[in-house]
Amino acid sequence: MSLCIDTQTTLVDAVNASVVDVFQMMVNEEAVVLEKGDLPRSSIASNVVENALTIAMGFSGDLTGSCCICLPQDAAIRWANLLIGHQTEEIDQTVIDAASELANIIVGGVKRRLCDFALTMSLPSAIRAGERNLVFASNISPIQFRYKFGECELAVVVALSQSSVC
Amino acid sequence: MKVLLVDDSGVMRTIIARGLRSLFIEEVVEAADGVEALAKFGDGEGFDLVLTDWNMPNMSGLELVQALRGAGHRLPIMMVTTETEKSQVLKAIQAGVNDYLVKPFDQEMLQLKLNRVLPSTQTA
Repeated sequence: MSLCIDTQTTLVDAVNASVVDVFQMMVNEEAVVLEKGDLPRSSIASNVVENALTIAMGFSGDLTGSCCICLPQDAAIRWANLLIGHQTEEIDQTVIDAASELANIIVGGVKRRLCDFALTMSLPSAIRAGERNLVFASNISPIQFRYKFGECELAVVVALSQSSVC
Repeated sequence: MKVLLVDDSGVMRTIIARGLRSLFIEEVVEAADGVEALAKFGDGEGFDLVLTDWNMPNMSGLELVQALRGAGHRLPIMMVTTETEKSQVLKAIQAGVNDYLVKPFDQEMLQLKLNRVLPSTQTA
């Protein structure tokens, strides 16, 4: 079942607050909210594999689905550098670990802000692809959020369904 | 001061260890899960504090706390986690956790929490 309007509003606020909070607290950098909208179906399942990193985490309970943190290569590398000073020109294991931690803390913050829902979140899984390569079941309408930090961008794609009646 | 830092994320261990060292806590023993933590903890001699993540493979932070308290160790233990659900917090307190450091956190928050669990040895 699609998300109720109230749930969508709460979710949008929770995602934005969590992303901004994580960047401010962990690396003292401003994450600017660029846009929020439905993930365009036309851009889903692109044949172009982006040089990017996506960290997927599952939700179960009152809301079911996933939350994906999508980082183009430059954003993933910059995040690892800001977080622990890691220097690299390619996505390596340390970059993947840093991005996984980013996802873990963002999604944990979203869960904390959705305290009216009983939710369990899974451990993060890393995928070497960007948001254009993500596909979802037809009964779920993913919502995409975009942010800018420095000259880099990241996307958060939330694909959830609600078990209870609105 | 000697701290046992337990987290399956090497990145998070790096961040916290760096934060501890900037607060003049020089001896930080790292472990990637509860099993490794217990092995490095030994009889606990010399340790002043345990900082542990909650969700880890092999042995969780909660199981580690239960094992340490079950063995009679009374040193301060702080959970570093995103988990703040009331029932989970209650479980941790019942197991013997002294305080919580919720992710995300900054250096100021880390220092505040350390001063709270180690009042006799105020950090900088």
